[in-house]
Amino acid sequence: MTLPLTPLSSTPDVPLDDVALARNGDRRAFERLYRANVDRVFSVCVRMVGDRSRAEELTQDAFVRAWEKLGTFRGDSQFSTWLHRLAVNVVLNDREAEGRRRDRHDEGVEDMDTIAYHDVRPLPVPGLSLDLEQAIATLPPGAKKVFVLHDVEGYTHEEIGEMLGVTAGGCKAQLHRARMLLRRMLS
Amino acid sequence: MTEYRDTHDVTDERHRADCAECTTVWAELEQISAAAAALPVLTPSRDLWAGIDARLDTRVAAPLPTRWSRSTMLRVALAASMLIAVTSGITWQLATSAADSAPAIAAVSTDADRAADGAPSTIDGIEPSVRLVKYDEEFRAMDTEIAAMQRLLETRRSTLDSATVAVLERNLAVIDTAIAESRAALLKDPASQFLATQLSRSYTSKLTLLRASATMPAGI
Repeated sequence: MTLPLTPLSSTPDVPLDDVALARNGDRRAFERLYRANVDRVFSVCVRMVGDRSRAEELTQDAFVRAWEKLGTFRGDSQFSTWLHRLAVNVVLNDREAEGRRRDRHDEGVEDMDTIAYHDVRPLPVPGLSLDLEQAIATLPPGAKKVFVLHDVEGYTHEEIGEMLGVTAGGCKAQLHRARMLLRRMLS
Repeated sequence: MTEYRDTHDVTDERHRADCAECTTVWAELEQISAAAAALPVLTPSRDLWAGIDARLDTRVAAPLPTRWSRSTMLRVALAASMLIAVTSGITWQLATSAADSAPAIAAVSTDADRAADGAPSTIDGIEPSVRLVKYDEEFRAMDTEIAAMQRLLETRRSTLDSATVAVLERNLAVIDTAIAESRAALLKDPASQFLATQLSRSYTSKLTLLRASATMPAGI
């Protein structure tokens, strides 16, 4: 039987006691939550911004934000899922601010042909995993966001569309564009 | 490349069926997607906790629960138990109906209670007890949170007003009864979405009430 609900839960290595304790101001419990989740939060940050130093700052921002927002966590999803989504929003908000300053044609899908396929150069170093990390880092920001959120992190087009303020169709088009660019870089 | 894209739609499955080139491209795209999903988790170059800890406010991080007043908690308790009381009637009716209309399948002798209730031994080839086990697995995490909240509440019991505790315990008893009834009804009719939702609501009501009472300021 598939039940029409998502139980209040957390990752197996994150005791729910810690969520409850942290919600009531227990810093030690919150530190345990940090240690159990920091790598996954950092991973999405670094892949979305392409800069380890900035990603570490954003990871800290995400956990501070999580501490401030713990009172709103109602257990409708796993704690790790809630935290991850919060971290993505921190990155997106940061990138929106930066985007207004330095990259005025990144948002949405209307700029899909800003970088032509023939402008993309193959990466010189063979080895798919390492190359893929490098290739993702060189994607145009809009395509990078959609690719990381969908193919790496597993969000649906609908979820990504909601996060980015675009339609699911626009998200699919941006994802296809990202994959084609990566194929070109990795070929 | 642009010309290629104009004449070949790689995303069109019907087109790929007739185009070996696009089939190859699509396979490569899928390979990239699979490789992306398998990328490893990355680790920061340093421990970030000290920087986070320094920025944490010393106040309790849960402003929402601490704002629960006695009257608010009592309203929640009343609303939760009323909702449970009303809907448990429907649950009972459904459970009775399910038992009456259940196909005549021989009862399982190893489960005396179920046999006595006239519950079917299998539905869609799956034992009801197996369905309930799956169900229990899905609620195990919620049980854990409830247990944590009950422990918190126990530590604070002596600081709360005795009348408040009495109201709380009465309403928790109503909800516990509803949970037990929903579980029993689900055993008879494991496919019922209504009963599953009903049980979920009962659990949520209990959790909401426990959270409110566990974080309520002392002395009220």
